[in-house]
Amino acid sequence: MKKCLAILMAVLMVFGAVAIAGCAPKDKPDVSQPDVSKPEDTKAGDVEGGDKKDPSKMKVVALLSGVITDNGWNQICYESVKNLSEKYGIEAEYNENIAVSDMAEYIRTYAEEKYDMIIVHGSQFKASAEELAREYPDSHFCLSYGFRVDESTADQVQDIPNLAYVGPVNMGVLIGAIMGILTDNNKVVFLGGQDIPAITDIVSGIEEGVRLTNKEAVVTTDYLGTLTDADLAKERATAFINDGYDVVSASANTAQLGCLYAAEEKGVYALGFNGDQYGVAPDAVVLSVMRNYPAIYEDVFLSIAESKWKSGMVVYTLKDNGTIVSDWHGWDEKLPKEKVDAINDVIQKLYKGDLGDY
Amino acid sequence: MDLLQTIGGYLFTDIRMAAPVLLAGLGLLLMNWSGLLNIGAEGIMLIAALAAVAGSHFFGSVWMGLLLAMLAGAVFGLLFAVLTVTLRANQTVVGAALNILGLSLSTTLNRVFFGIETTVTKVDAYKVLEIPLLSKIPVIGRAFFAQMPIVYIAFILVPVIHYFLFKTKPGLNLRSVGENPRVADTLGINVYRTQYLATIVGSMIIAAGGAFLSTGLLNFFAEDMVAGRGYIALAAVIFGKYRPTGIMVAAMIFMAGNVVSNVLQVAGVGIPYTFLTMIPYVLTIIALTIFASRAVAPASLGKPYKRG
Amino acid sequence: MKALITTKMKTQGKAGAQQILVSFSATVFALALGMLLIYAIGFDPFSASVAMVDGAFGSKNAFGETLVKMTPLIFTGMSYALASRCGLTNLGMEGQLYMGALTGTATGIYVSGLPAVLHLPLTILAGFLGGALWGLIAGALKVRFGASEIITTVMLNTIAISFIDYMVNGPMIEPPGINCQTQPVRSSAQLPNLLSGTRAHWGFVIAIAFVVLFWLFLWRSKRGYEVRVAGLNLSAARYSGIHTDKNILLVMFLAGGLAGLAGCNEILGIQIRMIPEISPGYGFDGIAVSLIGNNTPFGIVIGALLFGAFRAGGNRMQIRAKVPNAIVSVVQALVIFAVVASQMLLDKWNEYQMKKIHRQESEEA
Repeated sequence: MKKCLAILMAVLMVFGAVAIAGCAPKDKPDVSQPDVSKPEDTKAGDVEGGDKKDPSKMKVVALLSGVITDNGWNQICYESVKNLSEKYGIEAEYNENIAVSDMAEYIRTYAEEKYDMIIVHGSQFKASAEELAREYPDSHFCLSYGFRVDESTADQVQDIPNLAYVGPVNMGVLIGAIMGILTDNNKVVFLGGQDIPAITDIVSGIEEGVRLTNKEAVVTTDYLGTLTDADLAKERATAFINDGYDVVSASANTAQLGCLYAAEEKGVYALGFNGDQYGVAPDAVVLSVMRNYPAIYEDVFLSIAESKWKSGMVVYTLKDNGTIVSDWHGWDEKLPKEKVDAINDVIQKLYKGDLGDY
Repeated sequence: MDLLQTIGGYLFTDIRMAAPVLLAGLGLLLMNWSGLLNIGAEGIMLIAALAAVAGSHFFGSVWMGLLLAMLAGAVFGLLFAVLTVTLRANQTVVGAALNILGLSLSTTLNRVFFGIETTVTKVDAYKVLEIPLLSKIPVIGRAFFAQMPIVYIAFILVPVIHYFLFKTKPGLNLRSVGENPRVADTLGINVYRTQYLATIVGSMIIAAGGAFLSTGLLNFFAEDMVAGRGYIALAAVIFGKYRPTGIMVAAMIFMAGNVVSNVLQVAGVGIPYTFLTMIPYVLTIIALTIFASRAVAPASLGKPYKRG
Repeated sequence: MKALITTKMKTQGKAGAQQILVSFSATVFALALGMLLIYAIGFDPFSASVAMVDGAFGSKNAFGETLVKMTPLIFTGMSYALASRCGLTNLGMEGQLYMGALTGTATGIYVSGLPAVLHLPLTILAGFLGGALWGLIAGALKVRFGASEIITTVMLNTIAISFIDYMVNGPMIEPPGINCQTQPVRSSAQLPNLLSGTRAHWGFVIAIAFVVLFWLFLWRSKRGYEVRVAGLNLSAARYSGIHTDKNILLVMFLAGGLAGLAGCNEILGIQIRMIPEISPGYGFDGIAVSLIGNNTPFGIVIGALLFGAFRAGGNRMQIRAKVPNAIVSVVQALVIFAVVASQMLLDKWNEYQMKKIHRQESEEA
């Protein structure tokens, strides 16, 4: 075995030497360092030579990490391009199941064809989006991103004139505030699917939100470790409910539906997320909180058409309608009146900015 | 909460979660005893989970869903049998391809059947069937006697399959095919027909496990919802020493891993969730290392048989 | 016994070329079936095929992409083939790939101050060892406890992927800890570009070099001979005095290492940093690659080319013909079914021919 390793090492050395001597260094920019060759005259917030465009002639594509039927992250992006297609008569183009290692290839294909707006849906594609945005300055790149409430995300954003990091912020605060009112036992739980920016951003705001309406409640946030195993999610949520938690919410694509079922089965409150999920568990889902990507991307789309494009962090706060709340679906009759009033009140105040800058 | 009641609750969860794995394990067992090693249970369960929702949706009854799921399972089983029995192809490779096919085909057909909707298509699902009196037994009553019908079916299949395998003539024939097909052949047993039957019936039982996931525990189909249970069932068969009762115990122990991670997370002990995710799998490996050496597989498991 | 095994091996080698040809025809047949399926669910199969070929071979860039996809597939294909030559079933390539990527990335980031000529080989060696040790676990469990490697390798896949999730989100996360990814590996550990204007990198050349090593090991070394004998018949090998336990450990170590190199090269040549989902299933594709290649070095390269072209072309097919890429996986499964079926049909055909010759001979006599 030692001999084997020794031979292996020797062969690798030879190849390493040949490889380095034999060819030019790779033309991949070192992502950790800011690009020095950036043109001086373009600053964040401007775009070079802005011609107005006819919205119906614009070409838009959404590049997704999963399938458009995942009841969550990817589906909401599909809804966004569909919305654009219905309103402006453009083609609703999307590509599914793109592996991280393939994203660069997809982006390149659409950038070569001078697409006006390329939505790269997910922070795991950050490196590819940044690299290719520099290479293709004529296309506008939107990287769907998760922003934490503490603004620590700002350090991660690179200043590239045709790349925007787009997303709502403070959804977690809104969810937390509602959960704080709903609870009778003073125990609420929010379960994320995985520790990734598009979920961590919500988790980061839950506690702050609950504190706006409830000073005593125990707030637990944790992760399920799955986005597809709804059965496991259901049992995990049931375990929390059995421990006295009486308000459940989750962000885990399909798996989160399991949490809603658990709440219905056990007779506690739940909040839907990502879509109006009242229909999933009508006896549990009081309200649903939704990322308003359709409106957000319509806004970005129009900003390109009207050449008002902004690069860098393009954050939609509650005030900017980045997040929306569903209809009551009759729950305002079923809940105690003081809770309904309190929830309506806190939602209004949050959107107006009365409780702080959300 | 009362401690005994809590334990009863864990048991209830454990039994419910074990049912799909148990069904898949029993299906695999029939195939294994006929000498066929099928790692494609995951794929069969996935296509069955979709077929169950489709059947329940289009015919309005969850039992029609089960029927359609078992039909889909039978088709996959037939495909496996043609390739591995008649053509004597490598069973692991065919099984792996079944997994790929199950995942991709269920995703594709899901869209063909249900389109792309934000609202989840809800279908008729199993209701809890409480057995009078028995379900009132303290602690274990609810766990054992307030489950869905298909859970009872899964557990009733354990003695049924045990009786079939070890107490009946066809069961003996099946096992002799798995032990030594050549001898079985000379004794006048039709080896190929036995293997075909075992594969098709076995796949149908596996499919029932998949159907339970989509129309029992939940009532919709989602991509990749089986999440590794087909593989856990494979391990349960070995851990259960190729006996139905053993598989039952194994399925309950492996799924108890999930109960443990639930308890740990609720208790807030601060273990990263990624490690909690590993628990059922680590438990499976440990169980295999301790018990595998004592499990005696059918002697001709995985070896293609060539007549004459 | 020994003579019998030798003849068995010889006939296997001879039939190789014929089998590759048959596999190729089966693939074409499966593709046709796939096109029918694409038509059945309402897409244009003609434009889909054109897009597929164009995406795999239509331009220099397209060919570069095929090479990029081929590189990890050559490694995982060899990994499966090596284990299967020894009578083992390694389904753990995906986990081994991830562990190799992890150790490679760690060495690439945290070892500093070395020139590239030392750093790069050291990093690749670390990638090999990461996968190899992960593979060795399954081998040891089999030898020591008799635990079937078919099950343990699958379980180890999930464990490895969860562990990588933890590492990338925890100890190795890029400061200040917002995105779940590691820092980029140092430039001294990155693989240089192979074809300018494409993403093809020197990992491909390393892969080909390992194909040669694979051939040398199995067909030119005593140990390799023992491994192949053991693969044909484990108990016979034991009788002829071959240490099967030692061989199982060695083969699982090497097979794990090969899969680890798939992950490590992908990081050093393409990703530059570790993220949770580096592999879109290269591990499982390895089974199909080795199947099409009939576990031979040349065949594996051909198999990897086919499946690499699938991946590259499949992307283009989704872009151009709007065919959801889940269909590509359906087609891949069909290819596997068709290829195994055709190989077995070929066997049956040969048998039939042999019988006919025998009959003729006996009639003449």
